[in-house]
Amino acid sequence: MASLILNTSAEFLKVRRTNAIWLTFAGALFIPSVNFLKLLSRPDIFLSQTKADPWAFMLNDNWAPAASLFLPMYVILVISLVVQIEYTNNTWKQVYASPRSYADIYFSKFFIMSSLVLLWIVLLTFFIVASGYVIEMVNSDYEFASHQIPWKQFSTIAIKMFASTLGMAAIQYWLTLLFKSFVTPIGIGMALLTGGFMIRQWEHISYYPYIYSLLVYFTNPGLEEGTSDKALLNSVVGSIIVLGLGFYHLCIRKEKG
Amino acid sequence: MTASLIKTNGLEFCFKKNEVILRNLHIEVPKGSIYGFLGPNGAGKTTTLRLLLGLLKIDNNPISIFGKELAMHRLQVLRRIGSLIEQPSLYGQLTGTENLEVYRLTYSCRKERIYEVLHIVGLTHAANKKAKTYSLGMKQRLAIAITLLHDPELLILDEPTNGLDPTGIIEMRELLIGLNKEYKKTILVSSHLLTEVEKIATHVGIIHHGSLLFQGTLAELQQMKTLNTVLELEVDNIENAKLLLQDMDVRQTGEFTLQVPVENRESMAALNSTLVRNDIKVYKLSPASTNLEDVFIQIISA
Repeated sequence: MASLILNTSAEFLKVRRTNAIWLTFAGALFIPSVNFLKLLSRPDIFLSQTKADPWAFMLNDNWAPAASLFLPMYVILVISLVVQIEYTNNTWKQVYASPRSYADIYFSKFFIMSSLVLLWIVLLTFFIVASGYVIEMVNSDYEFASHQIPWKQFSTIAIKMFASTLGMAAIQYWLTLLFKSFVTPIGIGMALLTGGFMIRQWEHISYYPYIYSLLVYFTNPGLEEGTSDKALLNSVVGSIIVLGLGFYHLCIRKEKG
Repeated sequence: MTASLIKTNGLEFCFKKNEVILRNLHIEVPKGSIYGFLGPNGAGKTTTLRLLLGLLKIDNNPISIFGKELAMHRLQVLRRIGSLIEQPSLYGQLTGTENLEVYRLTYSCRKERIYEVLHIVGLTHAANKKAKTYSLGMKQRLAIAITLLHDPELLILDEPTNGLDPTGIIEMRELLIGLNKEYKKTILVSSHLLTEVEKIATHVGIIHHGSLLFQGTLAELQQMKTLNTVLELEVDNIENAKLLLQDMDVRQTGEFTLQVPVENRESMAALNSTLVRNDIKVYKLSPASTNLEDVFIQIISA
């Protein structure tokens, strides 16, 4: 166990100064920045919309695009970037030639990816709240400070969104280990994501991991009741199954590193 | 008798059926040796080293390291090995110190060990520079520093001089000799640079087309070289000399020069004595083949 903790610390060190870190910060900042500019440039439209409950407006205005597109896109990209650290530096063989169990190598990396996804969600929440306060500082007609931040709602969405990405994250992770190329797993992931939008009304859509964040965030008119909860559960259970299969495949691979 | 740290018992490997990469290898690397693993490109050196590090999976268990079967005791064995396979494996965006820290955590060694290994490989001055700014020689040195972090008994190095300039090659050679002599490391080093191996190895294994053609001490290889020596002679009377040596496979190579194959040192002395006793002046008597490369070529082309 001690060695797993130490090796996970080593994995954290590896992502330092990489594009995965930049993408996490820049990606989380993008939507709040656009909304920030939107609210400040058109107070004639948004003052009235934010009047009753400014935080609920901010939460939905930021999380709606995040849940439907930006979060799954980020997951696809960041997983490839984290695994590419080993490919581009030609370090896989050194990783496998060091005294680490295959389980340690495999799961510590997935832990790092999951941590980055969680960091992205936490940063997004932080930037949403911070942008609310800054908007009011620039235009005092907005009233964010006088309203209580709905932390419970923010936290619930954050946890649900994180859980909804686990299934696709496990699939993407397996793909990045199968393909040395940076582009191939991203291409497959993007195709599956856009394909998901096209079949969104399919009655078995709750078995399609690439669209879980959208299903979990939005109400799903036209789909059976409970689709959101089913998607959430399938994401968690599916991630366990896919991670298990991916690990088994890694163990039986003839070539490592 | 010196114990073998590495022993393979009929190691065979193929990536695809009918495409055999290694055939029945019996490698023995004695403790305390520098074992030069020689072979031309594509001979199977890297595949062998990858098998020794568990990077390739095989069904039977023909590899024993430190007296333990690798397949059964992978982690125990790898804890006692430092390795460098092909190019240096470094994280370019991290500094030298940070690269060492990544592996220090894996090997759970003392923090001070980072500075000790940087000192051993002479990289203290560049410790805080990013690895991507290092020259190839510095990268190789940092990669060797990583292999030394946990003070392993055995180093497995795949072509550590590959791509280095002459100065870098000399530095690497001195470093390896120092690690063997001062720090008592057993080193298995692969190379296709035969002259390099000749300068550092105590033991040699020659592989070609996946088969081990020779294995023994450097002295044994040099003995073999003597056995296969062709002498070049320069004499004043070439016709008389040819007549005297007619029972040997003599070949005239110039107006006053001959080449004669000899089996050992005694034959060389006897040959000289015969010529001198018969009033033939010998101006030059030297081996026409002088280095390991010739022996190597003879072995692989046999």
